[in-house]
Amino acid sequence: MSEPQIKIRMRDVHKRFGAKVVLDGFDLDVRAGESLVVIGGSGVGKSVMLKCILGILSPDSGSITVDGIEVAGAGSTEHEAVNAKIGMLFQGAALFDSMTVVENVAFSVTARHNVGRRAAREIALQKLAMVGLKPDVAERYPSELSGGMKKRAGLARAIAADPEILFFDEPTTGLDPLMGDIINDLIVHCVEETGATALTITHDMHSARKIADRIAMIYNGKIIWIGNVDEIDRAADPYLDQFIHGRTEGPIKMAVRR
Amino acid sequence: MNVFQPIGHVVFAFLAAVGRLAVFTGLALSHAVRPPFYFRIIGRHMLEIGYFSLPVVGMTAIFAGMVIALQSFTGFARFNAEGAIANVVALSITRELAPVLTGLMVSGRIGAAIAAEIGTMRVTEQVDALTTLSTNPFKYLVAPRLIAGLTMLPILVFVADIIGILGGYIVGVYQLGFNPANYLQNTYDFIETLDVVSGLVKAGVFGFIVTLMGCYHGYYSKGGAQGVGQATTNAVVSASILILLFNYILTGIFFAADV
Repeated sequence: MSEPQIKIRMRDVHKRFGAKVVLDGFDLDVRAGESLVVIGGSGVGKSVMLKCILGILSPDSGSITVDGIEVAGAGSTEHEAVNAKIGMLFQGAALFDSMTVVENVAFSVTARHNVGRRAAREIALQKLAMVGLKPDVAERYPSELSGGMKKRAGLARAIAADPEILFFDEPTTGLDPLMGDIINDLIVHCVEETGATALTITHDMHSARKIADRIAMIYNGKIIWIGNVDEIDRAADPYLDQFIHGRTEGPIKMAVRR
Repeated sequence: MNVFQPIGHVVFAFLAAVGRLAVFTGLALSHAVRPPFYFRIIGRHMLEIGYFSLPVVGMTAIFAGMVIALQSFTGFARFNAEGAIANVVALSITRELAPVLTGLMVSGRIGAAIAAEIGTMRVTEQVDALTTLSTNPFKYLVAPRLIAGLTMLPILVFVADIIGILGGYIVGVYQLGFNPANYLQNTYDFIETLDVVSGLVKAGVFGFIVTLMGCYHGYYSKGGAQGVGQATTNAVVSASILILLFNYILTGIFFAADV
């Protein structure tokens, strides 16, 4: 059996803001075709990790490669080329509120592929149907949508250009449990349908178990545990154990007082 | 030695802000002159800055022209030089009042709107979303607004020149009893190309300042609604101050060229 192909490789990545160290020798491999979920508390560097890969933030040191191409410290042209492979669903969906839903999704298509306006619109409507949004919703503006509909539209925009890699930033945060589960199902469905490599960050364990092939836990700027989703309950790691059972007592000290 | 610490902090913070603005301006300019160009978006901003500012700018200009005619009459009557009013109106409108007042009005109308819009896009991650969609925010958000500001302000000021002089004419003819033909002839004989051109050059610079300040403060806003409010205020205040500063600098340059 050959080694699984690595899609995203992060090695010894450091990032700090002023005195606050966020990523401290961060290593992570995302295998091609898998769905990896990174769990961890609020403010431990999950979002910073994604932003470093996308080039929204640049790491202080270390190496990040996507398909073997180095992106740490790369210029905007290189990042644009790499980002063309990536689709991202933002926590608040981050739909452009000056455009209708269908224009949002079509924007993603025309930014990546050389297709005409009308063809892009057709593709956008298909993708919206894929996430369960009807054509009448397509003509509305994001401010007229509910939270769940925004997430669906954001998902449609993320998958619109058929990316090889999908990022999900807290996909269920801010949704009721039912809608959260619908989004989980949609994510699983979309990842299977497109065959994309998925990297999700969340603190919702229910969502993590549902989406993940593998789970990694981040604490103090490092991955402290990584394994298949079915191993998580048998893992002896006290940090992981505390987090997945949501206990306040244990090795994880929350910085409540400042 | 603790005396120097806060001073050092202020100095470094100031230098950092100047450097950041310089880098921002350089990036914005480099993206403004390189393809791809978003012509539809440039067009939309031109319409917003140029066409929809016309009522505000027109009102400002007509009242400015009327006031100048009245005030200079009061002054010039004291040494029997009432005949120079047409010249004074034309000169002060084209060289000073039209560009400066238009710049200030547009900074309130457009600079604030740009900062609020880009600031909201920043805090709701829409700017980051652009990056993930392989679209450079400088190219898509900043460059079209700079181009629209730079090109539309001179046109607005040219319109303001005409309306301002019309305001002076209305007061001169209907209130102060000048002969209409004489008033127009005086204006036409006296005004020089440099008067109008210097005002239009100022307008281009002011348009750049207003849109740049709006984009800069919006782009670096953080911290939700309060941060966006702060960015909007900063955009208008800094644009207004820079307009007055550059008005003096440009006037100095034209003065030196004139003499």
